[in-house]
Amino acid sequence: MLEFFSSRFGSNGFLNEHLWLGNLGHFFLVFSFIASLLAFITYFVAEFSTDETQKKSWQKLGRLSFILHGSFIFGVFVLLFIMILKHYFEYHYAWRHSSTELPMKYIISSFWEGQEGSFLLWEFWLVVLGFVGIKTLKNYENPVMGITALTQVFLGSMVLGVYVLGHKIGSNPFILLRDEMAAAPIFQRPNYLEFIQDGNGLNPLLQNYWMTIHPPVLFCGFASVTIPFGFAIASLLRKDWDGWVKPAMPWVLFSVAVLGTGILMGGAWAYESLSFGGFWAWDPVENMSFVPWLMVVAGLHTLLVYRYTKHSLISTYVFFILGFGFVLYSTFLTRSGILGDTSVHAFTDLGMTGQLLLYMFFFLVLSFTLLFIRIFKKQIPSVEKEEALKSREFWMFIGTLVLLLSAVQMSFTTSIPVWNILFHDQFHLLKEKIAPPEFVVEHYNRIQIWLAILAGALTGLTQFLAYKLSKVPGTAKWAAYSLGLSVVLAIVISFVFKIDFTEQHVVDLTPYSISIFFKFSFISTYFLFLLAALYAVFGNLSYLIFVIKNNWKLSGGSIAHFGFGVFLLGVLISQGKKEVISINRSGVNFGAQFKMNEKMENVLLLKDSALLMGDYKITYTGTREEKPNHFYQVNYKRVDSATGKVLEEFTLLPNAQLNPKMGLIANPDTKHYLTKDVFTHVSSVPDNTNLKDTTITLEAAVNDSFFTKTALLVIQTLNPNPVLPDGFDKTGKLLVGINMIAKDENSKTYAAQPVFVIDMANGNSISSIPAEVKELGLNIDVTKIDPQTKKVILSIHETEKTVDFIIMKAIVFPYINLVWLGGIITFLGALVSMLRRRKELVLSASQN
Amino acid sequence: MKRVQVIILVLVAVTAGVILARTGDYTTYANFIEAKEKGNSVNVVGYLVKDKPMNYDPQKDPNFFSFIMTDKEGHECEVIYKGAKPQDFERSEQVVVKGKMDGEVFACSEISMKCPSKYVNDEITLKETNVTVKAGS
Repeated sequence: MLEFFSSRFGSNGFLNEHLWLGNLGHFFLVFSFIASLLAFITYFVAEFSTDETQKKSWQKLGRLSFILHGSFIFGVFVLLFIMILKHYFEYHYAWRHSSTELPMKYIISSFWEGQEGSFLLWEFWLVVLGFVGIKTLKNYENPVMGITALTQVFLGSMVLGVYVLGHKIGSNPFILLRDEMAAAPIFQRPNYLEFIQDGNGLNPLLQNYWMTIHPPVLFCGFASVTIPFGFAIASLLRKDWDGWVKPAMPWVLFSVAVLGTGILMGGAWAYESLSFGGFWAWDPVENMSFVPWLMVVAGLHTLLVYRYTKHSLISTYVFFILGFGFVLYSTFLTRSGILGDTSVHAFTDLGMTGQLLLYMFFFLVLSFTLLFIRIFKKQIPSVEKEEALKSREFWMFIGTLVLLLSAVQMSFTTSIPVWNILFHDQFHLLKEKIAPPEFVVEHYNRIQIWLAILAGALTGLTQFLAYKLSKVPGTAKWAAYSLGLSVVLAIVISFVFKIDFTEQHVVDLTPYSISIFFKFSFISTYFLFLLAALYAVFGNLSYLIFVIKNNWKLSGGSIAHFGFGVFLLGVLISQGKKEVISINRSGVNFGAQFKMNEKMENVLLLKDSALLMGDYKITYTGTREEKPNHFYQVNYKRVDSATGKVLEEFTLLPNAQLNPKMGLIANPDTKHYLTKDVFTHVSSVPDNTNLKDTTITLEAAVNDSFFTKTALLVIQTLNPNPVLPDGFDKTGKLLVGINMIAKDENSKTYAAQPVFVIDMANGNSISSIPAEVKELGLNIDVTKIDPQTKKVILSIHETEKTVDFIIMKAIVFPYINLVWLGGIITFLGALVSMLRRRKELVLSASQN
Repeated sequence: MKRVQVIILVLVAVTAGVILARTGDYTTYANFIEAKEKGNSVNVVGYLVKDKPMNYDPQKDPNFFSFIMTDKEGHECEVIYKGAKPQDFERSEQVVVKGKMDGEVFACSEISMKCPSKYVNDEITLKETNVTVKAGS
């Protein structure tokens, strides 16, 4: 520590550095860490002290420490922004993640491109949530804030950057470039900064507006999972089984809404800027952000069950502990480097694997130990009588188990690298290392589609059942009507959209399809999925309109479930019926090794020659460069086949950054309609940088012909009166024009006439006027003419012709807007519920 | 036993069953010789043989790309891929191909490559001095 500070403050003789910023930043980091530790300790002392005045004063200290902690975090936040905004490239973080040419909106993204910045973002949100907590948590403030502070200790240590007994604890974002790369000779120079003109820049894939807003929302969601976890632990510690339920409810709903939105925004980013063509690829990082959300949603449902029926309390604890545990596990997977090549989003290893593992086990072991102690001592109350088969609580509980199954399966396959380390490297149970499935998407789809079917059906049905079988008159008929409507619509849609699983270009789900047994092709998983999604939509819609009627207070759940149904419908139609319209028909078939749907999805579009794809006539019309992007102009025309009239025309600009460091980074462009999207992506462009020029020299006479790489040249005559360039003074010169023709591969003929010049007035000095055939990239010069033999020596310079084409893929996604719409409705539903539960809490507080 | 416990047990069994059944989707790592023996889908980790020709002629077929690769043990094999050639493939440091042997060639369904500078670009190229510095050295 001492050594560290002395090196920071010793005179170093380097010029133009802004050391104040890093010093202040690191001070703030260290003090925010200490303050969070203090907040944790004082809040917990307050929690456990029995004396009321003692309790109050410790609580005050806890608050003070947390506010102090928060202020330091805000300070760090501001300093890191200044460093990036002002391009202080003496700092590794600014140099590594930004550059001077980045526009403002992406400079903000630079902040969270690195691990350190994203940890800080997470801490920032937890500070904000903590401030809200101090105001609103009331008698649950001490334990919940204590656990929030403990989480901050864990997060803060990730960005601490100090050495304790030779171990590096955390990675400090204020580290200097010359410290990070101390061995580099450049840092021998006091004025080294003059040579560092620009930063490394932001990964082009992240230069998208979604990347400016998606991480803050996602990390707010991650941070929010701490609070339900804190409530669960607090309740277990206090053995207060009921008091936490009402105050926890709004926080749980907030978490569901914000984390869910963050994940879906990630999907929107992938869809808008990645090239795989879709919003979800079952990538490890995507999965591991989804799993905590599933757990919090499950916890929300069992919490409701407990509140109304006193069932499912233990499950509620398990879900909230798992929710937080999966956030930690996901942090471990994505930031330890263990995922390696299996994910595109994983961060690089900063050597904090041990630290991450330690925290994960610390939280999980302590929480589950506490839970098991309470279970084995039979301290947790449970209801003797079982849930009735026709009760709402029973089916809600089943629903949460479905979510758990989904989470377990997703984590299991995502954890393949972990299984390798555990069971291959350590315990030798596996004979060979395992790798992810060859067809990852199909692997997950095959299993998860069943869980989605169950989830969809349960969300449609369960609303109509009542807690503890209390009768709500007239609900059953609406349940039945909506089911009937869903069946009819499912059959109609199946025919209209031709949902048929035997089609090969849709996702292959046949192995689990029941259509083997029922030859009727639409009784398949897709049909069931469609039916479940429709039932979720209409079940909740009819419940909303006919059962709840205008009671907005109660509508949150139904709105959210309706949104979920719309989302499922969107997923099914946009993914199941997506159509690659850029099918190449000229390629060679390479056998069954390649699945049909992987085949020939790229087409080559030569500049200005139109190609018919789907309903569209597509033409690549050229490139526009706007540094650092190249925009490929792809013109779409929908033409009436009978009249030839252009019904519709638009131009898409898929772009590519020809990044000198990373090669071609392609960004798709999408035409959005209400009912479909046309997605266009450039997979490859010709490489015109390494064109080889050739020069040949040859001797030839009239009527000789010879080949160059692309043309046939024929010498026709030697012409004493050649055509001359304007302004050429021919007095006193002897001129010989060599009349030639050049034929290209299509026998198109071009004329060329290089001229040999002897300047007799100037001592017979020799020069020439070369001829150019631009279309063929030829430059023909004459270097000598033998007056006796009439042979000429030609020097032919041939530039390899640049070709202009793009290789592109175009996909139509029908009804993809349902996905986004469903997500937004679900978010709004959760919001309505959150406000209702919040109001309830305030009301009950004022009554007491 | 309570009904809930029965349901949980059944679901645990079903989950375990489904997960185990689906581990059949998992692939393994192999070199080209083993890939040929096994015949099923594997991952081969290796390197592009840069001095042998790559075959990609988009004007003829934009969905056919073939190249020569060696696995980590040095066995050479031709790999064919039905898709566009990944941009900057020449610069790859390490290549992972997923697929199976088809006679003497490896038919691959997915190529992933590691570029020396991708994502972990820690090189400073200095304009004037033209020194290249690698991080962590």
